[in-house]
Amino acid sequence: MPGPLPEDRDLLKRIAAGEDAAFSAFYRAHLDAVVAFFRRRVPDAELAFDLAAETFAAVVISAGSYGGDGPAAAWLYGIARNKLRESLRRGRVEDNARRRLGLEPVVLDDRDLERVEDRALAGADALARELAALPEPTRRALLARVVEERAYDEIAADLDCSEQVVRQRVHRGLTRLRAGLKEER
Amino acid sequence: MSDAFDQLERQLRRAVRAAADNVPVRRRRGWRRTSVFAVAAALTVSGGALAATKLVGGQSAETQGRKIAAQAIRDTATLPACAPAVASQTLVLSDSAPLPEIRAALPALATPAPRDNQARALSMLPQGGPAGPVLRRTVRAIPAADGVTLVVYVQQGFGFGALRDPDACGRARRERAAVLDQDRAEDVKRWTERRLAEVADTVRGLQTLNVSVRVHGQAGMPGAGTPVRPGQPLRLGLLLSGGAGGHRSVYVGIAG
Repeated sequence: MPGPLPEDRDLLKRIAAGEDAAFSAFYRAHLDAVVAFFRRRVPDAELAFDLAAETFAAVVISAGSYGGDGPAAAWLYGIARNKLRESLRRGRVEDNARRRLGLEPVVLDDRDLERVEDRALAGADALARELAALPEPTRRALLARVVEERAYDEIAADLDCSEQVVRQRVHRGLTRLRAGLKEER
Repeated sequence: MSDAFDQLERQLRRAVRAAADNVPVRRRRGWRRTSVFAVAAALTVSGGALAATKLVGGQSAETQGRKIAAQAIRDTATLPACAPAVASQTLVLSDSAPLPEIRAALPALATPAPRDNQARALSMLPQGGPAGPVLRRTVRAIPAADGVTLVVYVQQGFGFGALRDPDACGRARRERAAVLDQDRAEDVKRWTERRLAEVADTVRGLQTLNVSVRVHGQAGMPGAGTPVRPGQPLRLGLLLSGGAGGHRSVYVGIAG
């Protein structure tokens, strides 16, 4: 029987401490979903890859700044949303994080572009299935926090429960999503 | 077999180790500058350190053409004509009409809003004025629920991110592309040309539909500009979304 999955916040701590294996675990756990997130919002696969690359580069840079005061997935999607918003505002995908890390440009060929589409589909399908499998109260809390970026107190008022209950549901939902997405692979 | 995602993972793992070892990295200039537009429109990729000769073998003519177009854009980016236009400090109003494609999707924009509404909307436009003349008859403030107001206007040209001389820049890009793809097959050259023609910031006659969100009169969230090309319909659907202050989310789109 496999052991418990490492929590994202533990992985981020280890990334900040220079453990590259922890980065791989985090990257592989979230890559499809991040690619799916961007692919739904931008016109082509190359752009989705570019934004995903910049997002994960930002994770490397700022892993140490994740304070653990909210779900790590919400923190990651916050980075992704900001990258998208800034890129749309400026009219070009920013590459600040990648330049800061001194990364080599990655050239995509046709096969890579297909893989972007495959990962986006996989991320979207798997996520939709896993979300649908969550209990209703958990799913509502999770979507309200991670997708709609609403504050815990506001969600608690809407769901007629305490903030602590909302936090537990969000945490539980993310844990179950991660476990379910990992199994699908 | 290793793919681009694997390559990226390896690079980022090295970066994680380098950060821990405190190894200074050599900063690369222009990693990859991908142009983005708010609505599904043609994109170009700026190849950073890539040269046309480094294109990966086995790519389709379209992919090769796109990369050459991107290289041409990168190579001409420092020309004065291709530099960003300086946003005017004075708002310039034009009596030109919005494109038929905009009127087809948003018929109301063909008719000016009442004067007091126009004045209110004009007072909420970005400080310093947007780059490019604003079409007077399209300016309006549209009240929505919960204190949310949409400020809508169309401007001539590309708006924020506009170039100093789009015509000259377009010519320079095409000239550069002709050098880069001179030894390429005809279908690659056609894709290069097509790709360059699609780049919004040099399309003649382009107009930009701008929408921003105010909440109780204050700035709510950054706006979005949607380039509309003559002859191509304005795409329906979501234009922008995000937090608008007070922990609320706003979704703005064009209904069919």
